[in-house]
Amino acid sequence: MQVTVKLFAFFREGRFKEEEREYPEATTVSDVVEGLGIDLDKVGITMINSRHCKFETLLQEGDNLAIFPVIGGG
Amino acid sequence: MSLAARLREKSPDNVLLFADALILAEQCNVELLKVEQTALEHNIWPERYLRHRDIFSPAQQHQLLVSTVAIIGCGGLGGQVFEELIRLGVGRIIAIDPDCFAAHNLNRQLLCTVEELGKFKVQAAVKRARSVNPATQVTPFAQSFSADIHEEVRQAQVVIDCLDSIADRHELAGFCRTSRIPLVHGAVEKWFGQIGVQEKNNLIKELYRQIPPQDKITIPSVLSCTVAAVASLQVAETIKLLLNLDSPLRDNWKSVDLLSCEIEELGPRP
Repeated sequence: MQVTVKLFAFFREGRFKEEEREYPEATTVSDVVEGLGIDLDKVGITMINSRHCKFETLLQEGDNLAIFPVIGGG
Repeated sequence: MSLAARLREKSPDNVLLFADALILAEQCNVELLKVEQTALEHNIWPERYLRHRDIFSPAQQHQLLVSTVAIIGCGGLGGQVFEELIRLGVGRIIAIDPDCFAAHNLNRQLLCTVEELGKFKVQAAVKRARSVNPATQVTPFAQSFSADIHEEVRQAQVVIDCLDSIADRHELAGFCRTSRIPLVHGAVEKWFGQIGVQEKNNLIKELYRQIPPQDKITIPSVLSCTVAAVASLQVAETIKLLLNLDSPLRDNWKSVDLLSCEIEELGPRP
């Protein structure tokens, strides 16, 4: 299935801003995150089609997945 | 002669010169803040706020002068927020930070100067207010945000999160929810930041799913321009809360990217 993955802030460094990617059925949000070499501990908000989602949420064909990092500095 | 009568006498064109405000405070033995508040009550603009005249009504500027805001963390974001709030005319600021300045703060923390190295950040804030806006009443706490100062912080109409610890942010957000005080959140790293306002929702819990274990905590690199941009957005939200103006950020947040010049569209509503 095709999923549009959007990365934000420093998650874009050495990766991409937005990409249409191919994934097998039953792929979860955490599968995508880990597949991109991103540590789950560094992930803040994740959204599918502009709605908050969990790491274990299953992706569907045509979904837009947005991944934001934890930003903690003051 | 009453303060109001003296103000009218000194301000025939409805502008109170800064020098006259200082003289009146001394002559009438009242605080400078009281002189400015009274002037605005009579539609007289203190000179220092003259360039707000087409933005705020005298009543709105007066509202800022009678407001109390708490800044939790007086480093990068907190120092910049503090500077902007004193220039805006927020009457009372509760400034909380346990730390002293170190040389690695010089790249981005506005209140950090070579002569302030080794000194408490909140003391630098007091000094800065005295030199920029001596009418501001600053209540400094050279300590972490903790239960012993909860009562003091409850006097604030808005609390501003300028912390750098996720655990502390969770604690502060819980306090603000219980106390029903709006929390203006900001955070920065490298070229990036985020800004949000928690009123009724659980914004901080959404943004920070978990408190990282001690061994996973890293110290982020941050640019001064990122700090200034995010802090300014926090101040803009603070003004809107104090003056009860609408904002799309209430119970919402935005991602700020100075590298791509993007402020991410709304949508991530928890």
